[in-house]
Amino acid sequence: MQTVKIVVTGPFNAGKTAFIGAISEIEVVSTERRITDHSQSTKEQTTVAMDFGRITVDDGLVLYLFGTPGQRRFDFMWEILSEGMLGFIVLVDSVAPETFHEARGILDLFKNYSPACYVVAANKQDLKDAWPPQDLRIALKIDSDVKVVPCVATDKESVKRVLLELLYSILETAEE
Amino acid sequence: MEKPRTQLMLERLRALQATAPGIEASAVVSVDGLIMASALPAEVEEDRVSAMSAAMLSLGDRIAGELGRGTLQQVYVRGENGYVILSSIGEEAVLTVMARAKAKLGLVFLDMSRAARDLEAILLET
Repeated sequence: MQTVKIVVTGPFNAGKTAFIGAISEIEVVSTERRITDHSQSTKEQTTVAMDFGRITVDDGLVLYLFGTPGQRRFDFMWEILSEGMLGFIVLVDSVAPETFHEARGILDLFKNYSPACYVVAANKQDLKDAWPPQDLRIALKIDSDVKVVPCVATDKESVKRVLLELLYSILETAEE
Repeated sequence: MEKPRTQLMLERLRALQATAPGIEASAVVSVDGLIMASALPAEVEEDRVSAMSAAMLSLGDRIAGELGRGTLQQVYVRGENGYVILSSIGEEAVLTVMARAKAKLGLVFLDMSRAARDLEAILLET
């Protein structure tokens, strides 16, 4: 049995906790706390340490999913959680272009932590004003060899597709 | 209204440090990791301490729950040069205390729980 550690990261309110919650076969270990500063957001809760979920792909492969907090004051957790990861997913809120710059910054930091494979997931594609993945690629200046996958983090099938795309990328890199 | 509350909490933190000689620094932090009042040395980065306190307390809370230890009362970290102790103040805040290696822990715990009770009252009243 092989276990693979995958980190799910991205800016505040990108949908990281929902992403892991949609696919995990165990009850997610989450650390959400009530937001006290409501000038920043309309959201009720935010992750302050990590999310942890697990998904068995087949008899030989289990994915451990670690979600990071999105707010920069928790960046010490980013480094801790990135240790030993085989791949990571940068979730982007496709209806919040003001967060694209932060998403790019987080992406660069994680690339810096480890040479692991990654994909970008253009989340909230079910919303009317969502930027399409190809526009996100341009806005975030994503390398042409990196996948930008459309995503709806609350939909299990959609989350599964993002994870599979990442696994294919990891396999391709391993074969090279 | 903001100012008097911070001031009240700060006074309570200073009183805590005055009664318990082992305590070097203390702070009140919101559960989502923002500083509410602090009596920390100048070289300590408030924002990092507050975020770390919130993260650690939330993990401690999960661990205590998952392993059947009930509601979390305290998280205790011991390093070569001393202790960092976190305890919750009601549902909304965390008391973070840094203590010397030679501090009398029993006294520190006692003083902390008294302070946490007072700080909870301050948070509820104001």
